[in-house]
Amino acid sequence: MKRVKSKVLANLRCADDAFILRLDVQNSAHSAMPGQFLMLHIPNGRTFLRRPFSIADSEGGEITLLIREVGEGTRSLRALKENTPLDIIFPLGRGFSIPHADKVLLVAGGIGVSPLIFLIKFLRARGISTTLVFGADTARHLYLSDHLERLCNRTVFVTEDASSTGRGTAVDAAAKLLEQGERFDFLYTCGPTPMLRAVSELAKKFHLEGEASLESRMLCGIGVCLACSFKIENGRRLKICSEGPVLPLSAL
Amino acid sequence: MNDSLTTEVAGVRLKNPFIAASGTAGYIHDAPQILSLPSFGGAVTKTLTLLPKEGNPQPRVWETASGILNSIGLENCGVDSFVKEHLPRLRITADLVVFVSVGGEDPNQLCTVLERLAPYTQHFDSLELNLSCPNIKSKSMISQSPSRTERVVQLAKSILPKTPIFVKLTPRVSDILKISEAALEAGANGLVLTNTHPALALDRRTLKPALGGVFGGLSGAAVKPLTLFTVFTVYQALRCPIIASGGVCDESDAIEALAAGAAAVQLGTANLVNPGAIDELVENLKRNLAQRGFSSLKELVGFAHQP
Repeated sequence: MKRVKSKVLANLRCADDAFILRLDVQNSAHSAMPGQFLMLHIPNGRTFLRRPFSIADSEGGEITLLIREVGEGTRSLRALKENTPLDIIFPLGRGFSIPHADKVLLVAGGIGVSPLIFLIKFLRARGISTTLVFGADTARHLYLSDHLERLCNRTVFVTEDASSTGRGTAVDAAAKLLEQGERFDFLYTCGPTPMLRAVSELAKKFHLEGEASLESRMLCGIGVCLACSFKIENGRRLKICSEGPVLPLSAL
Repeated sequence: MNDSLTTEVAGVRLKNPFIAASGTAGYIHDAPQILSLPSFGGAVTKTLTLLPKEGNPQPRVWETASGILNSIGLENCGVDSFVKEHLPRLRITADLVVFVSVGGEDPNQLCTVLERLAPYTQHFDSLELNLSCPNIKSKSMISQSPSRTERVVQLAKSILPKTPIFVKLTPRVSDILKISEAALEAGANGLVLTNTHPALALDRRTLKPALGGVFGGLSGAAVKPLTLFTVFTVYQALRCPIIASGGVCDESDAIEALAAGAAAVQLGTANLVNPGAIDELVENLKRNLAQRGFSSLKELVGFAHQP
């Protein structure tokens, strides 16, 4: 965890409401693990609280973020030109664990696919077979689907408006796979918290272990302010920023 | 250590005037390294209550123009767990002054907390009595009433007679001097001016309260002039030991707060937004003082009041 002076290497639109931001972190001695995140100061002269973003890839002194434009801050980021200096704190949080597994299931909802992209690359390099179920409201928001199709051993895309191959939610599609008797050794998921809870129920039903990456509003990102305090299943409270964002599915 | 930055507030000696505010330094020993806590003059623990508190529902923070609203709701582990897990580990370095923050709505419970701490005063240097958290459910804060403030401070002083006690006040009162006088007359060694300002943010889309706890406390650059006003007013009338708290973001802000009458300053929001900035602040303060021709920080305290 370190404050790093970074800069924008590239800023590319990849969907009508999302973009890819590539950052230079050459001068940092640290590298990120899948599931970790960074806190970024948005240099627009107005927002001064840092914002947390999942890391969608990290390699060779570069970090890639997949960002959905949701408000003033993310719109400002989309407008950043190449070489703009950026003040970031990274890497933060506890990432995904990499189990001894042959075959894993990944369930993504919307922009929640972001940390899973990095994870899939990591798993693939270790010879682990990956099946991705990716759900969004509409086909346009199945971010980087072509790239993911190439990266995964198998992909299932579903949308709520049936503009892609299948209609429904990622949870429905994942349930269908499991009900058909397909076996997995581990499950990873990221998306809105209600979806994560549904995936957790599903995993329990099929006696599948797994992990979820949680999203939260944050202030410090380093485990001090308790803005992201989250109550887990046993009643204990965890700080999503420092004790997460990746938690065992059983904690939800 | 640079002696030109040493300061003393109510007999508590700090190597520099910067104190990490309550809620921005955890329980001190567990603060992440990136905060550079040992570089501060002092640090205040998260406010303790008798029983563990879960805090308020999400969202707990909201950004506003040059400020933050927070509604954490005093989430903490409770005094018993604190005494066991944290108290013996508070002293992370010899020269970081340790303030334990104690709060709550009920004076009896608050006194029980102090009684539980009383056998272990060797583990901390000073007490910050938080009589002003805006994020709890009671109708009013203790420090909105001179008589309640006086009573609680008297009790605290009788339980911890040898520990310097600083009372953290709310700015949301009609006469800050009356409350300040009540605290000091009851035996408070100094004042922390002030806690966050009760405030409201609405979600622009839904037009409903943005925070889970409805109201929050405003902090950050937006409140600095309000802090200066309070510090100046109280110092002018009472010349008492003051720690300024609210909107101090850099060394220039600190210099202004000291000139207004504070002998030390707390960093809260700034600490969370730019963790580790303290090292630079200390260097900048040293340079800024020299450039202004001050040989020590003490010359600066109350400078704005000199003819």
